[in-house]
Amino acid sequence: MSDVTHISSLLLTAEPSRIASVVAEIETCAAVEVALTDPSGKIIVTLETPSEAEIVGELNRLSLIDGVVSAALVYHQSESGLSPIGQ
Amino acid sequence: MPNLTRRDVIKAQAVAAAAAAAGLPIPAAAQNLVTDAQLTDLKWSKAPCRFCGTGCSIMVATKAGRVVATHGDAEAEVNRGLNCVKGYFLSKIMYGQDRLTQPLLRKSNGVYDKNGDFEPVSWDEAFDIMAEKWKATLKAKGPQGIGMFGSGQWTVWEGYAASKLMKAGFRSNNIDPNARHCMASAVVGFIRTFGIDEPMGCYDDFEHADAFVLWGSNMAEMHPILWTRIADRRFSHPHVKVAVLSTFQHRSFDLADIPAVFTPHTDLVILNYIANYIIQNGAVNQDFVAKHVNFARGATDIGYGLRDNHPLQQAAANPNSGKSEPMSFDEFAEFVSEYTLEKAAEMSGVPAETLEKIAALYADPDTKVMSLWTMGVNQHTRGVWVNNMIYNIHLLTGKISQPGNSPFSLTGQPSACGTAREVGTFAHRLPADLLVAKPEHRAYAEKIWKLPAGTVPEWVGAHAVLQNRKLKDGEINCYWVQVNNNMQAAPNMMEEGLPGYRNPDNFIVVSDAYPTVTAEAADLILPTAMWVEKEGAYGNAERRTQFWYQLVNAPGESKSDMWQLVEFSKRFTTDEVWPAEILDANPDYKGKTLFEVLFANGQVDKFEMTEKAKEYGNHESEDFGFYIQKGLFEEYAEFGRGHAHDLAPFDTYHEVRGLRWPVVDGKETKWRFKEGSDPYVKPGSDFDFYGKPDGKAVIFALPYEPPAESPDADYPLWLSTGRVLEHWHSGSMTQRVPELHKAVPDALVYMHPDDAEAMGVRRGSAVKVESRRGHIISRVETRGRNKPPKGLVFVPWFDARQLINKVTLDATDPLSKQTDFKKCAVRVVPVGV
Repeated sequence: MSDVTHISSLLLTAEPSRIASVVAEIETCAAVEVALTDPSGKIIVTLETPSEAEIVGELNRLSLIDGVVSAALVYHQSESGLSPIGQ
Repeated sequence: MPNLTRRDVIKAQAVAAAAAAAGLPIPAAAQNLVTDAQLTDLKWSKAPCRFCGTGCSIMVATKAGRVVATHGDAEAEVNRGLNCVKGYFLSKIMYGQDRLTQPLLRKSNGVYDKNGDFEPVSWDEAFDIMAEKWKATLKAKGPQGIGMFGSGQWTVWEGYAASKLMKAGFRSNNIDPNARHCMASAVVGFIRTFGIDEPMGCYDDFEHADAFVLWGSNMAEMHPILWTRIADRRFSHPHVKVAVLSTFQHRSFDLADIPAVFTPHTDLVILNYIANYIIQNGAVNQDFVAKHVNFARGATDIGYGLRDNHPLQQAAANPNSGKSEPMSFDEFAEFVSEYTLEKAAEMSGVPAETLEKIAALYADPDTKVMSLWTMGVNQHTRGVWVNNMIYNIHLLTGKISQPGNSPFSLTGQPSACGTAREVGTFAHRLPADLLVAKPEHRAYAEKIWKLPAGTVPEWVGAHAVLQNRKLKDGEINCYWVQVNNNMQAAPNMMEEGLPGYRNPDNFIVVSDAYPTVTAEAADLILPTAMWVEKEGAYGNAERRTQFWYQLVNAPGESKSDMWQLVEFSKRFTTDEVWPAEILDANPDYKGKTLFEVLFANGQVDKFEMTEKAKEYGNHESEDFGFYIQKGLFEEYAEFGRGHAHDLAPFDTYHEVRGLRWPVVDGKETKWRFKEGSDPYVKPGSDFDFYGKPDGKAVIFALPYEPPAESPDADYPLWLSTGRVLEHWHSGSMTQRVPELHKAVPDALVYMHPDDAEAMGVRRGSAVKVESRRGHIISRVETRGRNKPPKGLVFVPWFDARQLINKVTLDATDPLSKQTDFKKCAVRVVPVGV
C-alpha cells in the first residue's frame, strides 16, 4: 500500500434553496468535508483520498446529487507520510 | 502554530484556492498558510488547456523534466482558478504507456510495403520515403494529387507553417483542418451574415445577460467551466432565466428554467417561429434594423453535400447554392408568417407555452439574451442556415455587440479559432479571412510571403469529407494527417474513410503522439511532441490568443508538427515543385529549397536565439538556429494588423493571460461592431458591421427543409453522436488517463426505457446499432446522464473499440461541407444472450 494521500478541493454550485439537503448528501462520504458554503449556492468541499481515481469518482457522485448544477476541481496535492509541519 | 499539521496546511491551501476561485472571502484560518514555502518547490508556468475551445489557463508544475501537477490559473479571466475533470488530469496525457517515440514505417523484407508491418525507422528514412512519394505524385498529377489534414489543435505557428508549405510551397490548396467537422458551419454563418469570422461578444457576456438560451449545446458536460459562470449568474441574480433546447435531455437540463426537447432538425422551424413572434408582437428594434440590417432571400433546395451522383443530390434544384437575393422587411415578415406557434409546436414536439416563453425572452427589450451553440447547430445539413437564423433574431431585436446581448458560437477545439480559422488552414482560405479564390487576396499573401506572383493557386482545395472521397477514388495519393484522429472522427468510415487510406495507390502519413485508429490505418507514423513539449499558441472561442513555453522535453525522437513541416521543406527545391514559367520570370528563386524560400526568407528567420527565454527549452529553434516561433508569428500577424484582426507583439503574449483581438494600441476588444468598444467602428455610426461593404449585417429568409435521412420502418430510430465530460473527442488522450478511462471506460447506447422494452432489451444488454452503412456492438443505458426521448438514441464517439462512425452518414451542410453527425436513421437489435 502506498502511503500517499491526495488532498483536493472542489467548488460546487447548487440551487440556493436546496443547499441544506445538498450539504447533507455530500457529507454522507467520510472522505469529503464541506469547508464553506455561501447563500448564492456555492459550496467548497475538500477531499482526502488514497488515490486520484477516487477524486474522479467523488466528483461524479457530487455532480449527480439532486440540486447540484456544476462541480469543478480547483486544487490538488499529493503527499506521502503526512506528518506535523517542520519534521 | 505548534499543533498544525502539514495536512492542515494543505487543506487550508486547497480551501483558499477554491474560495479565491469562487470569489468568496478566504477563511481567516487559511489566510496565513497559503504561502508556505514547503509547498512550492515546483516550477510553475502557465499554459492554456490542451482540450476544448473554452481556453482555460492552467498552471503547470514541472520537476526533473516532467509535468507533475496542474491546477486552474487564478489569474486567468476565463476560468479564475477552476478546472474541469479533463483539465485536472492534463499532466497525465503525455505519459500514456503506448506513447510513440520513433518513426514507424510499414515494411516487408526491409523495404517499404503498404501491406507490411510497422518497423522503427530513422527520421531520415521517414523523410526519404515521404519525399520520394511526394515527388512522384507531384510529377504525375501535380499539386492536386497531394493533400493534408490538420487541426484546430495545431498551434498558431504549426497551422501557419502547414498552410504556407502547402499553399505556397507545394502550390496545393488541398489542406483542410478537422475544424471542418466542428466549426465550418459557424464560419460560413459568420461570413454570410457579417462578412467577417468569429464572435462579436466575449465571455464577459456571462456576467451581464438576463437570459441564456442553449441551442443544442450541453455546456454542463462540454464547456463545464463556462457553465459554472452561467450557474453563478443564475443563482446570484434570481431574475435570470436559462432555456435549454436539445433533441435529448442531458445534464444541462438541471439548470433549465425552460427545458425543451425538440424533434431533430426542427430548430429551423423554431427559429423562424421566434422571428415571426418578434414581428407579430411589435418587438422589432425598428431603428437598429433600419440603420444596420439588410434582408436577403436565400436559395433553397440545396441538397445534402453528398457525392454528386447520389440521388438526393440529383434531386436538389439548387445543389450547394449559397446565393441570395435582396428582399424587403415586409417580404421577410411575410416569409416567416407561415411559421406560426401551432405549426412550430406540431413540428418540433415542444409544447406551445414553452415555445412562447423562449420567444418572449428574445422579444422583451429589457431582457439581455445570450444564445450559445456548438455542434448541435454546426453538425447539421442546414448548419449554416441555423447560424444565420440565430443571428436573425438577435439582429431583429438589436440584441448584439453589447454586454449580455450576444449570439455566441462556442468552439470545441483549443485553437479552432486561433489556428484553423484565423490562420486560414481551410481549403479555401488564407490568413485573416482572405480567400484563395480572390486574385487580390492571393497577391497580398504573396507580397507578405515575399514570393513570386502566381505562387498561390486560385483553385479551392478539397475539404475534409471530399479528401476522403478523393483518397478512395485515387485522386489524392499522398496524404499527411497531423494532430487529429480522422479515421475515428470522420463519417461513414467503412464506405469512405478506410478504403481511401488503404487504397494501394496511396501513401498515408500520420503524425501523432499515440497509436490512434488513424495512425494504425497509415503507412508511416511520425512521433509527435504534444502540448507543453513545445512552445505554442492557441486562440479560444472569445478571440483570446494565449501562449505557452516548452516546459518539458518530448520523449524519444518525438518532434513537434512544426519541426516536421519545416524539416520536410528542406527536401524539395523550387525546380521540383514550381512550374517553369514562375521560375523563368523570377530566376532568383531557381534552385532554392522550399525551406529557403518559405522559412529562411529574412522574416521567419529574423529573430536570433538570444531573443528566446533562457529558462525554457525550444527544440525547433535549437535545431533551426533561429527563434522560429517568433518569426512565424510576426510574419503571420502582418496579415491582420490594420485589417481588424490585429494581434499584439509576440513577446506580450508570454506575459499576459491572453488578449482578445483586435488588439489596437495595446488594448484588446471585448465587443466588436459597437462604437466605443471596437476601434474599427466608424465614428457616429453606433453599430458598424464593417465586414460588409455597406456596414450592414444580413437577415436571411430560409425555410425548413427535411434532413438527408429520417427514421423509417426499417431503421426506426434517430442516432445522435456526441461527447461525454470525461473524454475529449476520440479519446486518444483522455482514454490514456487511467482515472478518466475508469470513470467512463466504454461508450453506451443511451435510449428511452420504453424503446428498450419494445426491442426486448434492457439496461446492460448487448445490442447492435445498425444503419444502412455499418454497425457497432454496444450496451444499452436507460438511466444516467443522458435521457433521450422515445425514438432517439445517443452514442458517444470517444471509444475506439466501438466506432460509431461506421454507422453515421456522410451528409454535410452543402455550404460549409461540415458533416451532420447528429442525425441518421438506425435500428437497435439484441445480440447473443
